[in-house]
Amino acid sequence: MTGTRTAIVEAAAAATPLAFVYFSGWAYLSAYLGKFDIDATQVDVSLATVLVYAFVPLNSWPVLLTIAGLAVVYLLSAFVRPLVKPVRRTGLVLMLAALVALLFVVRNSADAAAEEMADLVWFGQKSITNAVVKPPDKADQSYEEYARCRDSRRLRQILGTTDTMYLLCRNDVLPCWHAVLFAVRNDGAIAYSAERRRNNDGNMASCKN
Amino acid sequence: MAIWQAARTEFCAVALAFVGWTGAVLAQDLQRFEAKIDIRKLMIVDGPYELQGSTGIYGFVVARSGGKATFRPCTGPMVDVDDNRLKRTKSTCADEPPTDGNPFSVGCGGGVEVPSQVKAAIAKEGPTSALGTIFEMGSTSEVQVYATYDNTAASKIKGIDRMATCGDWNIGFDASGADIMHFLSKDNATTGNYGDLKQ
Repeated sequence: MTGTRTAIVEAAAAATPLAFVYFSGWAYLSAYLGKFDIDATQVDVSLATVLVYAFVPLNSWPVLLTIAGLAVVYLLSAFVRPLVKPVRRTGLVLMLAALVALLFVVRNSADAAAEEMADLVWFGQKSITNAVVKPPDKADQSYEEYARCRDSRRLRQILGTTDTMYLLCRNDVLPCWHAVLFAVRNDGAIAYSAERRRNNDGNMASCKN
Repeated sequence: MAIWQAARTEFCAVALAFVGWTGAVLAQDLQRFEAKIDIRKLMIVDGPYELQGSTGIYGFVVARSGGKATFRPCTGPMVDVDDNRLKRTKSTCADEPPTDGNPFSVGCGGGVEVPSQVKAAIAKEGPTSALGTIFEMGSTSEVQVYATYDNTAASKIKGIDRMATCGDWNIGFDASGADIMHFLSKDNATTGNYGDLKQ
């Protein structure tokens, strides 16, 4: 029984870091896509992509300081005699509370980082990506709108996945406030386009073109 | 055992405090968005118009000069555009696309109330007033009419981020959600459509 319990604890300990990193990456990606009203669950993102993006929120001061703080608390509880027994008795509750607190810190950091990245797209400071789109057989409003955006260099890349490129076409008159989102598939077809309107986050004044 | 009881008591205290704080924040938010909008200041505009060559951008014209129109969109800052880029529309600010998922939104709150003095002033001057004319009721209940759209008038509406359509009125809000100007189309001023809105 002791052996089984130990094995379960060791397996959980081994899986927790990977789950934590995966959560961080997913928190960032879902927050970033959410800034453009793209449902992250509809986007086919590989595990490798999620893990790579995990370092964006993990590499922030709030997360690093929280982890450092929790490490200090753990070391104190392990080596300061008066704390050892009470911490041993309440260990599971304390661990859960620490994990929940860390997850919230990661989520907030992910949201802040996602907002910064989304601002770059709205301000036109991301890659001008002209995805290859096949002209449709008959007149199509989405394609005509896309062609106008491409010709006037108003397209900006939001995210590229293995099967779809998400692009933002910034409006020519109100570029930081209104845009059209295009989802272009790998086969050159426009999967859909959607009007987007942005909330003022106090960052709009410097938007030029 | 004593430590468990102490920890449990502390946990309950923290949970209660958190619930109380959350409730207070929610109540404050609800109260802010349900306040009635008092029309003591308004501007006569033309519209609504749709910006051609764009999708879902609606707004109003506050001034015209030399083929250019000063366009006050429902969302975003005021811009000068060629008058021929504006097309009359029946759509209102309520027909704009949704925002980027941020839950903050502006609306008609608890309704719109127009003081009788303001209604009388609109009835007298509204139909013949130029675009950009401002009617403003001071503390003495006298309504001042500023007939010229100049830099002073422009500065009064510069801080508007977005607008909401409330009945015959279009309300301009700043970034904090405060209503800083109320817009009435010349058509509504002429036909007498500038009444209260009950919610």
